[in-house]
Amino acid sequence: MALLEIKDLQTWFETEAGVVRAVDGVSLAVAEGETVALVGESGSGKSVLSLSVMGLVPPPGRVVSGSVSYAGRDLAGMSERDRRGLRGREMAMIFQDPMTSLNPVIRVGEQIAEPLRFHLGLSRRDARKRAVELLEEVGLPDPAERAKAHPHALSGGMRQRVMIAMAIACGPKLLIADEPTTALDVTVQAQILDLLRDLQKRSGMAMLFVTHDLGVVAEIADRVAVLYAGKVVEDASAGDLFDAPRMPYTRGLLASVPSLAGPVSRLTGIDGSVPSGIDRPSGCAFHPRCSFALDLCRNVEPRTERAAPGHFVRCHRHEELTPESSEVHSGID
Amino acid sequence: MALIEARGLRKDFDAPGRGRTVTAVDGVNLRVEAGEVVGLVGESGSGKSTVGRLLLRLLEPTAGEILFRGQDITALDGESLRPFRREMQMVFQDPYASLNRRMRVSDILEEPLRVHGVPKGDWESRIEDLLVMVGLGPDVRSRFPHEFSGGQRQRIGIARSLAVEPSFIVADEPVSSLDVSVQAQVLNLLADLRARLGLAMLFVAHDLAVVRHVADRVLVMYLGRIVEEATADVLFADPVHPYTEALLSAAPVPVVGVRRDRIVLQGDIPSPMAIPSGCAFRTRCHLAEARCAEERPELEETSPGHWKACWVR
Ligand SMILES: Nc1ncnc2c1ncn2[C@@H]1O[C@H](COP(=O)(O)OP(=O)(O)OP(=O)(O)O)[C@@H](O)[C@H]1O
Ligand code: SF4
Ligand SMILES: [Mg+2]
Repeated sequence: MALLEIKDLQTWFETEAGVVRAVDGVSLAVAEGETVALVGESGSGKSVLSLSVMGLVPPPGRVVSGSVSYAGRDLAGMSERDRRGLRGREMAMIFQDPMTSLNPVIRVGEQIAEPLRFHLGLSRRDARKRAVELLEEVGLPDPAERAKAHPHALSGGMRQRVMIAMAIACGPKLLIADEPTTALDVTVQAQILDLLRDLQKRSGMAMLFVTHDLGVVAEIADRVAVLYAGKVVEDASAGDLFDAPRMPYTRGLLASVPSLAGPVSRLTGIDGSVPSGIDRPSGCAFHPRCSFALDLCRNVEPRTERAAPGHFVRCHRHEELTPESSEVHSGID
Repeated sequence: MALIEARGLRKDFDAPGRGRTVTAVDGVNLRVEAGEVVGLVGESGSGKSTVGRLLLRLLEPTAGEILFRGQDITALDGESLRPFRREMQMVFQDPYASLNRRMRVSDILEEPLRVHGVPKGDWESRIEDLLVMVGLGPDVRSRFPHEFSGGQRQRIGIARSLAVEPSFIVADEPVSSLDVSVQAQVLNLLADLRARLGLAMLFVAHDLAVVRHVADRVLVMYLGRIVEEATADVLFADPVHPYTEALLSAAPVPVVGVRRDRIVLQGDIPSPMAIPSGCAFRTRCHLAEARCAEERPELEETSPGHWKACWVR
């Protein structure tokens, strides 16, 4: 049994402009100790999916259908009280901008101590002591001093470490990290990725790591789910996804990333742009941008199919688009 | 003669309170030849954007001089600066913020034509050419910015900067707010325009792979100073400065299983309000020696065209 199991989840936002189908039928599983990267471009639904798992979707958003279960327990059926008990203790989340979840007027040590008292029933004194230890674990220099600081007195990298300390305080089994390094400089990002990997090795927690950066995915993920227009369009081990991508969107994404190694060639890219959440194209939502699209793609939505062991893809043409066949005849010309 | 050249460029900003100042740019020399793309890389607060704005005379330097085609333009202003303004344009990071929401595309593109006295009779055809050139097509001219995607808006920003046929462009993080699939389109567009128009460019970015992709030559900046300079081929294959090395090894690459021996720097970039003595990088450098705290290393040439500022390397 997977630790986290998401089935056919739909999370929609009813706005004046129309219904935004942010998450539109996602199925995804995370096993114990596994790191699954959720990758996609802006608007693909990564953050709403993460918030849906945590039960933190802001109004007017709501989970319309589908289920999320944690260790075999259906979260939708749980009382808000039980869910709160789970959040922070069993599953925790970190965000791109730590300032959104840190309280600016409370010292960071107190903020880390809070869940320790709430979930683990530690005394004020023990919780404080433990908070300093946690700050040390996440590599904050001078942890006893830093525990007394307010968030704004810390740098971006340090705040992210504080967030991580808060998230791992109760030893969660699942950490959901939503673009935790996107706002950081690359040298600080490297530190945080190393820290997360290291914590994971020590504690065995599973991680759902949300990012738009394929480089970060390659560094951290065991398995990768590619999100497009609210749906998982490809799901494979990191090795398979990078070496033998099947879905034209994944291929396009990989061909869009300039290489550090050179030689410098023209980027293939993908024409057009990500569709809005309200007016999604018919059939395969990627078809207007896909150079392999056929009439079938315009009319019929592809189902998730198994392309290889442990490799799932939503594309009518996945059987032709094998790693060997880079030159499949495209539907356009 | 370089198309544009900066010598000893320095910029101090007033810091909040207590009459203190921040040195954002400290003794930068750089030159861009006609038709050349120079990449300027560094992390936040390194002063990259400030250098770009100084070159375009959008900011007054505290010290140093700027030469355009050999002519000192540092002290020019108003009317005397106008012909140079026309030669030097800017493309901004955020296509949303840099376009006036209430203006139609045609108005946005007309503005620079009017400011620079292009005869009104030529506007129509010029705007049409520009929109074709950036791949939007002339039909979009009466639409408003909000009707476009981020990538399309960046194309409008690029069209605007090209309206008066500049020879030099400062592109400040022009693709960093775009999705990677759209980023690729805009990078291709910039490459095409460069080939077609012979544009010279200062390309400011924090993404090393993007810079590798567009730049002929690269300058690496740390806390207001250039620490290394070389052709892109040399810099990416054989970095000399420990900061360049660390930057390169920290950049995640989309290939599985290349566990590189990474140099992970300790700590954060110091605040520009408290730049370390000697070599500004020494507090995070794994090679630092006593001397590094005492004396500031100047740029020196290690091989033709390859410059570094480091006592140890
Ligand atoms: N108008 C200003 N007033 C005061 N300080 C400024 C001003 N503009 C820039 N600075 C400071 O100068 C330093 C360098 O800024 P600059 O924006 O040039 O860096 P950058 O490398 O472009 O950073 P980023 O990548 O974050 O945009 C920073 O510490 C910044 O806070
Ligand atoms: S289903 Fe058709 S349009 Fe969609 S990715 Fe596959 S080939 Fe392209
Ligand atoms: Mg900048």
